[in-house]
Amino acid sequence: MAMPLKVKIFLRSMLIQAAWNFERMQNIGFVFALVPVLKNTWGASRAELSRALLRHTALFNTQPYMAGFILGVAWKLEEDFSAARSEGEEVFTRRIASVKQLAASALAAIGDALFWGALRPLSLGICVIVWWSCGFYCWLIPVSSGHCPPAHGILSVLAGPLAGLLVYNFFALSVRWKGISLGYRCSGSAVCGLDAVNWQKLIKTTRALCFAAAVVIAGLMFRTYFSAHAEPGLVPQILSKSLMPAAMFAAAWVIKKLGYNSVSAYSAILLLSAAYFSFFKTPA
Amino acid sequence: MTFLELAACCACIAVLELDTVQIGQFMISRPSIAGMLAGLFTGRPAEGVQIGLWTELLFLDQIPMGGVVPPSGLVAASSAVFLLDYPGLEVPAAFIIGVMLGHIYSRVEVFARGRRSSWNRGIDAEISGGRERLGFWVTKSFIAQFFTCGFFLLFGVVFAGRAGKFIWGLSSQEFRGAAYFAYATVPWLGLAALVLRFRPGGNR
Repeated sequence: MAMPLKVKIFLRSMLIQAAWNFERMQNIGFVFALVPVLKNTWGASRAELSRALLRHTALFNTQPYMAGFILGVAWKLEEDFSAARSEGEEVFTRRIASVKQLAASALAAIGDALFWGALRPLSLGICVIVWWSCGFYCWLIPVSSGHCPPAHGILSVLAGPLAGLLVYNFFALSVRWKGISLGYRCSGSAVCGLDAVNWQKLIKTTRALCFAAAVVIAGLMFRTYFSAHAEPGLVPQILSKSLMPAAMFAAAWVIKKLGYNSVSAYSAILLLSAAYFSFFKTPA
Repeated sequence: MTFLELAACCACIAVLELDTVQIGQFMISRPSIAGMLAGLFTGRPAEGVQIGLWTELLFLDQIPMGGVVPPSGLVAASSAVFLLDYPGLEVPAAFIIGVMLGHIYSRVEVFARGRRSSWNRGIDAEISGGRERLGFWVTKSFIAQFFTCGFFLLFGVVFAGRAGKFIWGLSSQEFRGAAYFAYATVPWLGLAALVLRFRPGGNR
């Protein structure tokens, strides 16, 4: 595997979702990423290069960070076919499409669970915790006047997102980079990448960290919420201030059970509270 | 904030929006970052962070899997922050309009993806004719996406902001109170959804 080619594919794989369309999804980004390899393999013949490019303009879709595995598989398959020509071109075209399809589906499920389902919320949790650690947490309190006390300098504002981005992109870029070489070494296997890492353990660990982060954030929110607008009488204060968080947890549980999302819950709360306040003429 | 300043801010956010799907997915286009940047542009970093983070918590359970186009948290957060200055809405009103614009933008994105389907025929024809211009098509996609998002944000903020200011002005004290109350519940709703989703043995 030539390193300069791998670097080109890696950089081009960042655009795997460029020109995403409903008809063939990531096809344009995929073939764009593979162009250096195809030119290197088939560049001597314009006709063969065209046929190779057309092979990869077919329907393709997977989780973007996992596409590296399939790019590596496609790279190796094209190289092997060019060297050996052990089967007819039509047979090879069907075989490579089948391998890509199978690998894409399996890796998409893993990638969706790991990145969208676990790492994305975890990086948000890290961002919030770092913000709070830097003393930037006034935004936790709902603003009634539209203004919030100024932040403690620009660095405290940037520190949170930077921490979250570093953690997220460490995993995303690692999987993208290593996926290409692991895919190349798979020699055309459709189950490429599935046993590269203990994905189940990784997803389980990340989800556990997400839960821990959510609990920490809940604690920070409760602490900040209770210490703001302090009133005399600890027990009545705890009781009255616990009402809304408890009600929202109950509402979120009910909404989840009914199969709706958080935006629907927010809309329902807005409409119900408008009706309630109007009926009982509750002051703003 | 003047119209030109708003246009410049919208252009910056439109560049950021390319990270959502087209380029990299480095997560710099997430609502918490978009809200923070929009807040830095408008001189309201804390409000920007609040709106961005709360938008992200609200939209966290809508994941872009397969061909699903979720509502745009970036458009929701950044438009809400801009609405605080142009035309100067109160936070709950700006948040409501931002969420609506985020949902409408997802329909615009669906339309754009449908339009790009027709490019496949042209690309196949070019490749069959021995001409590979994939870089052109990819660049065209970026430029189209940039202008789509930029103009949507700009005119969305201008027109929805004016309509929102008019409606907010006509609304009763009770409705405004309800809007403030609903806004105050957002972080708890989002946090609850997060805890419930990741609790041991909970739904995946």
